[in-house]
Amino acid sequence: MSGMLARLRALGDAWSVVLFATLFVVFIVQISARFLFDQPLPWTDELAVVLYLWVVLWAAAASVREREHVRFDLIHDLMPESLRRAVRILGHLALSLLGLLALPASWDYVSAMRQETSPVLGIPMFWVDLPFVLLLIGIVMRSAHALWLEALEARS
Amino acid sequence: MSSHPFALFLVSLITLVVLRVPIGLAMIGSGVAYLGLSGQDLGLAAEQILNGLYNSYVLLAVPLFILAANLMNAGTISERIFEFCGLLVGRMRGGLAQIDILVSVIFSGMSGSALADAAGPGLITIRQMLAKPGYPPGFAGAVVVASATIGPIIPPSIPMVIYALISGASVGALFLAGVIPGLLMAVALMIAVQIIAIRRNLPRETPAPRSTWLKLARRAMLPLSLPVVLLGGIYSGAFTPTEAAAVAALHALILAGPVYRALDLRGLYHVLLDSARSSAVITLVIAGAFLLNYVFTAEGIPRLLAAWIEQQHLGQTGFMLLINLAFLILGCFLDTTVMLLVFVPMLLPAVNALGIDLVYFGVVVIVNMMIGLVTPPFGMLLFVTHALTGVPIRAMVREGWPFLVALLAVLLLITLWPALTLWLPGWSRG
Repeated sequence: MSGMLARLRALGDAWSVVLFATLFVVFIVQISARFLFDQPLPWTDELAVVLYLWVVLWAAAASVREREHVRFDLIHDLMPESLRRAVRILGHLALSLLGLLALPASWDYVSAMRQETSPVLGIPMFWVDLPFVLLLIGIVMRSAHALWLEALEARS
Repeated sequence: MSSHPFALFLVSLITLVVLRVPIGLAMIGSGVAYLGLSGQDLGLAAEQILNGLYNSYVLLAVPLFILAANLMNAGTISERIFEFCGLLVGRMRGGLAQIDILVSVIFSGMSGSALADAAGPGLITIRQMLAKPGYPPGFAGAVVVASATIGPIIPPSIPMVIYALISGASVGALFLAGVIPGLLMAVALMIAVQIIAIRRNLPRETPAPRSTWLKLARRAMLPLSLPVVLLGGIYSGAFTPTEAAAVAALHALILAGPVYRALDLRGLYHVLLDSARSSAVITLVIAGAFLLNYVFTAEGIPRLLAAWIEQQHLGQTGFMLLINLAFLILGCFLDTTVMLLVFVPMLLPAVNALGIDLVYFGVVVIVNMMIGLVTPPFGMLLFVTHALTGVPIRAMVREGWPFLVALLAVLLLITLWPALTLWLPGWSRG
């Protein structure tokens, strides 16, 4: 993997860590407010949900490694190597096409959310829902990258 | 009902899954294809998934339980429990195998994932067994794999949180309902180990000198307090399950960091990153299932299935036995999260129509799915243990059947006798 790609990935990972750590801290604040100070905070629940959406969708787009995904491997593993490659290439192609197909409509949905805000903190729902679009972009980019790698391997 | 796009939806789903597309993304992809083919707005995919996640507050417990388990594994907590259990059952024949089961029971009271159990305490005991003559690698692997299934049955439990989300059953009641079945699984596995240990003359552990007993017990005391706090908190209603997850993670962080000094900042960074990734992998499947269930509901599939099941006049017991058989077979081939999120929602209308208690149904189904984690060819626990230790999967499967029989016996027992699951939550409600 080229140096720039490695750096991008490290940056993506760092953002996942920041989001997850913030989520955890928000929870600790919520629990301490309730149990230690007997003063439940109205905003922690909402912020936790927003951070949860960001953590999981961002990490799915940027940090999850290919081999970590839940897949159905049984049929693939029974195939000869030549067929396996064809299966992988078709899979990446199908996924990138479906991602591209879903992107414009998803962007429209998320942009329409600029008008709505979250009930307590007043965060525009655009910022809450944005990571879904980032996930789709991540999926398309990663499938394209995987296809590129397969092409390089086929040439050598 | 438009059968044409729906047929194409099923075809595209199966095609994507066979093409090795990650299952969550395959569900999202085929859902998008369905929306396109039936002339609906493709933005519905974003809407269904985002609203589903945004409105599922209980799901927040999942990343926190994952974080808690990762912190415990990084922070020598498993080692301490291992030493403590050695005091209790080490002198039995096949002592290391008995220790492993007991450690799993205690670890189950702090973590909600079978895979975390195999990767943490399981790895410690398997290494000890492999270093000793007398324990064949396949046997060592089989014990660890079988005992890890207890993890999500004794609370807390990630699959129970997910089941609560799809069924509307109370997480607290589900957690309490898992206690007796989990302990039964441990007893059944210990009996199986005892029989094998006598027949093969497996070694006993040399007892720790009496003078160290107090020290070892003290070393384990702080970790052992966590299950008590968690269960007590959930049982008394002081914490919600989500808060319990955060308390567990905080407890583990304090022990691993300032108290035991087993975790530095770099270690914490990696624990957080691993937890974010594992949470993302599970949530992708959940997100896909939201869209899949939208399609199934739009096509009226659960209702049709409920009507069909009612026509079969199975009765509650017949239905439960049939479901168990079907899930055991599916569990040999499918991932358990996928089964839980795809097949269980389809069955819930039938479960309600037959008047079956949702808590009882959930615990039976989850025990069944944990057995699915150890049955080949697709058993995640087998894969994880093989990847961590190099013990061949075939060897684990060959040595594993007595444990499989033990677990199946417990499954049959709790299926036929609902009181085993429902007595504890019913009693706590008074």
